[in-house]
Parts: sequence; structure tokens; C-alpha cells
Amino acid sequence: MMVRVLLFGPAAMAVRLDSVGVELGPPRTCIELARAIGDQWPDLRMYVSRGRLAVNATFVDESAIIQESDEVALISMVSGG
Amino acid sequence: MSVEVSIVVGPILETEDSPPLDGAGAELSFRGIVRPYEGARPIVGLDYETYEPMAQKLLAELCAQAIVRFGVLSIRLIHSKAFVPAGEVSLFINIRSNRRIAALEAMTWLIEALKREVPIWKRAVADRCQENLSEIRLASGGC
Repeated sequence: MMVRVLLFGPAAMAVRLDSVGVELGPPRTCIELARAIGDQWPDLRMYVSRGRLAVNATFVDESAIIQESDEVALISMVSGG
Repeated sequence: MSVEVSIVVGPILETEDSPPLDGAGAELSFRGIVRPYEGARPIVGLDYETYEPMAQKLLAELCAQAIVRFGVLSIRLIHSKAFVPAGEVSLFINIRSNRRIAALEAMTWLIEALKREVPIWKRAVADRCQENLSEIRLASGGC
């Protein structure tokens, strides 16, 4: 299935997009999605390795299953304050 | 015990302290102000980007954790999004507690947790023409 991953900050600037489509086959876990992002979008590898994935605005474990309707976001290198 | 969190567009203009609270023996307010430089480079401000639903949720969770962890009575937190000019306030936190130590410790813990956990990104803006550069680039799919 195709998962749309929201991007922010330096990750968004790295690919000049605010989201990317990532093809994800089974098992549709978070760790597989992280791997797929790195494979399909090499410019995002650094941000995946230093960041975390959030599903429906919540950080999830690597084993969490991604559903087609989920909102997925790559959260890396935050710098608020 | 109460938590109030908000994310506002641009600089935070209203940062007055909270009304008196029964039982509070200390009130501590922090105002984070945008510096006019980034490293050695002069800037005109910071452009804050947020993943707002998650930022709002995490800020509220961190404030609730701080209340439990340090036993403070209330926390009011405001964070900016979008452009904030140098010299203006981009983060305001007000904490009330029975004793000053709890408020001081909670403030330090909360700011550090916010910087580490909450999906808010800032980008230095060197020139007024660049205020919305990231949005323009992303909207057009590149530059």
C-alpha cells in the first residue's frame, strides 16, 4: 500500500516536499516503513535514523502496524523554544 | 491543578502573569525571546514550523507530567508558530506552586523536555524577504 508520510523542518527542506509517498509491503510495521522511507527517499535516511515516526499524532513502537487511513509523520531533530 | 496550552501565530503579545491562586506561594514566568543573531550571523527573526495537532497534545502531556512530577499547582504555556521577529517573545511559561523550588525545577525540566520532544522546528531568517521562504519552496515543489 502507499503511505503518505508528512515531513517537517530540515527533513522537508531536504527533499523540498511537505510529504512523500512510500510504498509499504507486508509486514506493515513502523520499522518496515522507516526502512522503506530510507530506501525510496535516500535524502531522508539521516532524518529517519535520527528521528521517530508518529502515527495519528502519537509516537509509536517499531512493531506498530500501519493502517491505510493512518496519518504518519516523520519527526526528527526538533528545535522548539 | 490546571494546565493551559496554546500555540499562536507570530509573537506572543500577552504574557501577563496569571491571577492569584489560593495556596500558591510562588509564581514563576519565563519568556523566551528571539535573539537578533544565530551564532555570529545577524538575523531578523525565527520562522517556527509545527506539527500542530501533535505539538498541542505533547505540550499538554508534558505540562501534566510536570505537575505530577514536581507537585506544582498550575502551568500556562504559549508557543509561537510562523515568523517571530528578533526581540519578540516566542515562548511563555507561567508556573505557580506552593514553594519556589518546585516551580524552578519544573520550569527547567519543562523547557528541556519541550526542546527534546515537541514537534516544533525553528529556522533562522536572515532577511525579511525570506520570512516565508520554506513555505514558498514547499508549496511550489522546489526552487
